[in-house]
Amino acid sequence: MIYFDNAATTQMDKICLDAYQQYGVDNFYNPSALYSKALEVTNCIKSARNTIAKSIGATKEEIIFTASGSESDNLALLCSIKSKKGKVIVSNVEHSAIYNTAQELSRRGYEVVFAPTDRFGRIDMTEFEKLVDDSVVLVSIMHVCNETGALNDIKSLCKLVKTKSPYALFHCDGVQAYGKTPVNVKTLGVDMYSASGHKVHGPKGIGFLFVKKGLTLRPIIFGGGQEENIRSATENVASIMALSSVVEKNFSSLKANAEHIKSLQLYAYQKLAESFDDILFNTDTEHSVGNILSFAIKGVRGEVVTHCMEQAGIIVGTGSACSARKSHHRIPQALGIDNDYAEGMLRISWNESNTKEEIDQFVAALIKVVAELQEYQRK
Amino acid sequence: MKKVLLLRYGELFLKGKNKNYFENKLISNIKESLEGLDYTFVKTQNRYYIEDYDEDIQDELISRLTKVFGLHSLSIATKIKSEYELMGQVVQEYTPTEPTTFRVSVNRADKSLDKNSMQIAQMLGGYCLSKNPKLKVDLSHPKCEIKVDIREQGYSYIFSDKIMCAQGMPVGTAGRGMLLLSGGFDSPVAGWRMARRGMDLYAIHYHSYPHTSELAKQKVVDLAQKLTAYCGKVKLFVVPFTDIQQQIHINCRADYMITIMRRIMVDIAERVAKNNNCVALITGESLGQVASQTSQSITVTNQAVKDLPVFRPLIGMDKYEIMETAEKIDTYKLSELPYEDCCTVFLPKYPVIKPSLDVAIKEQAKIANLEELVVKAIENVEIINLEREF
Repeated sequence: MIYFDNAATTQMDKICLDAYQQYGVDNFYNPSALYSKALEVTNCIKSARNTIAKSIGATKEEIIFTASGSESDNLALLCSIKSKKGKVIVSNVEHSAIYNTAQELSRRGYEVVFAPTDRFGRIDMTEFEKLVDDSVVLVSIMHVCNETGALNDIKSLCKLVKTKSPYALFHCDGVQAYGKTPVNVKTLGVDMYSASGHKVHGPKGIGFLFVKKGLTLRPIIFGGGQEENIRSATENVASIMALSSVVEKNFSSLKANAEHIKSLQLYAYQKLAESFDDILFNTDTEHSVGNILSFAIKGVRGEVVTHCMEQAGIIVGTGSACSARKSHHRIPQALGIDNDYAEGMLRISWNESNTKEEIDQFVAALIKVVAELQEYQRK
Repeated sequence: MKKVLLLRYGELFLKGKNKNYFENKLISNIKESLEGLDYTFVKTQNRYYIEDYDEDIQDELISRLTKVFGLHSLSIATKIKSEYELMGQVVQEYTPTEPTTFRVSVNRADKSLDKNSMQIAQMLGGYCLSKNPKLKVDLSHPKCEIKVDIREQGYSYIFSDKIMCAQGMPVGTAGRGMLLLSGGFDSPVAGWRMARRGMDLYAIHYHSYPHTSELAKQKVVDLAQKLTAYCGKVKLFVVPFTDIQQQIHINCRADYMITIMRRIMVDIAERVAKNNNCVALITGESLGQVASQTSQSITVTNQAVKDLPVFRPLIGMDKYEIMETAEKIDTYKLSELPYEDCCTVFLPKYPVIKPSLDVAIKEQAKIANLEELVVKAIENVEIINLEREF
């Protein structure tokens, strides 16, 4: 079985199991308790927080652990804005966790505007500049587009916003960027940055939000005051420790991995371009992370291809642009994809352990599947 | 004071000599639907009572009973000893607090009491007026009617509001129907309506993997499961339909693809139905809703059915009415899930609206090995047994 849907989720690294054994079974204590065993656990979390903070160039005081990337996004958008009105800018290809939360801000009275992207899901800088003025209170732009892999120039976008509206907050959804490309929140200049554990071989149910020192958020969960009183709940100790051990193990080789992954992307692009005449690529390989390649083949449905490929032993994704989910047509529309291709969007995404041979197998299987399916094109 | 549920049945009272058959079925359906709950079932003439239950499960009892076809309505009643003062106290509990019109109606089976029905009603009306002097008596069209049913064994039931049940006829009294179940809004409603007329349900679904997904199949399983709350066990037959659809696509005229597909579907449904003691096919067709549901299309499809009647309970219903029922029976949310079903995947750009039977037969005949494919599909049917779930 070849798994090419790593942008949806990754296989958890077995190193996480040690953390579950150690902090779920052996040292299972509640970190808020008063005995020394609990203090040990608290210190472990502190160390994990430090490891994770370092992985994005932050300090441990700037990391809030959450249960997911979506929760981090919600926290950033719903709990950071101080004024009761103003303009909020998000891109029109944001993940639903941002897009739908922005809709909620709109219902709460903020003026929400959607920044357009180019054909490949990258923010159109000229159009973006037109939207920014001194009424902006919050901007949220994804670092890497989950549909196409497009890598946004967050540093320039953030600088532009801060110049035109110095008090505006800048949030970046880094769920697809974290662990795929080096991230330094200080260099990027952002106020908040979201990430998720399960996209980087960590467990599901753990994420974090970087919150720049000096910025205070309103609580999203009330209770015992954990996570600086912003997100009360007994800490998910085992998952925090698991994520920390994955980061410690894998992030030192991030650069080398990124190069390997990029070479897979370029190879896949070339092989697909050679194999299909009616193929439309939605990923610009020059301005994207290497682990995602999005494309569509004319006349075949992405959903059906996914099922056929699964029969051939290869798991691929459609992203959220699955043809059957009518409510998710906004991505092909935002990318300006022609109707002939819109239902055929496929997103293949690999990781550092995949090989060119697997890409070859994938392309060979796809050629066979597409030939069969083209027999049944709509008459 | 002890609360009980008073159950009334509907159309059954119209039955003559075979009323017992219908009643027995209804009672067994009631008991099946209340499986796992502690209560006592009491049968009296023309009424049933659910008694001796813990008050905590009253809502659950009502929720289940309102789904039993054959029951007309129910009331939450108070069961007491037939003593006037006690009756007066309970009647006061049922007395409306706002200024409105009311009456007390008394049915007295126990003739040993010293007052007749009218006198008891007057006396109890007095209790109501003393509780709320702003009430006015209206014997013809009262806004609130408090009923007192005095039984022979020295006890009485007092109740007021009526909760409507699903009505119809007890499931299992009208034979078994084979429902052609897609993932849409219509077919589950059609199944529900026929179960309401007493039909026991089996369902058949056509699955075209990889053109349709496992999610689409699961959606149909979930829809069939929803129906079990009303009709009890459902057997779902999932027919592997990919080969047949592909052959239709390769061999037949594009505009006739849907017509031929539906002809083959009803043919398979009838064969499976006959093998499983079904007496009818049930479809969710509604006249003119789509190209395959015009009079001409229905005629051409119907011709492929040899012996069994095809029940189309939605034929004269508007989509709006169908959706409303889907909401009511809780299939709406499942039906609106967007997974493709086998009909939409091979939908031609321009399906024929007024197909000709001759052309359909001729085009269908172009699939040389159709009989072989049909037999193979039936041999490979997946059977999913669904138990009643609430």
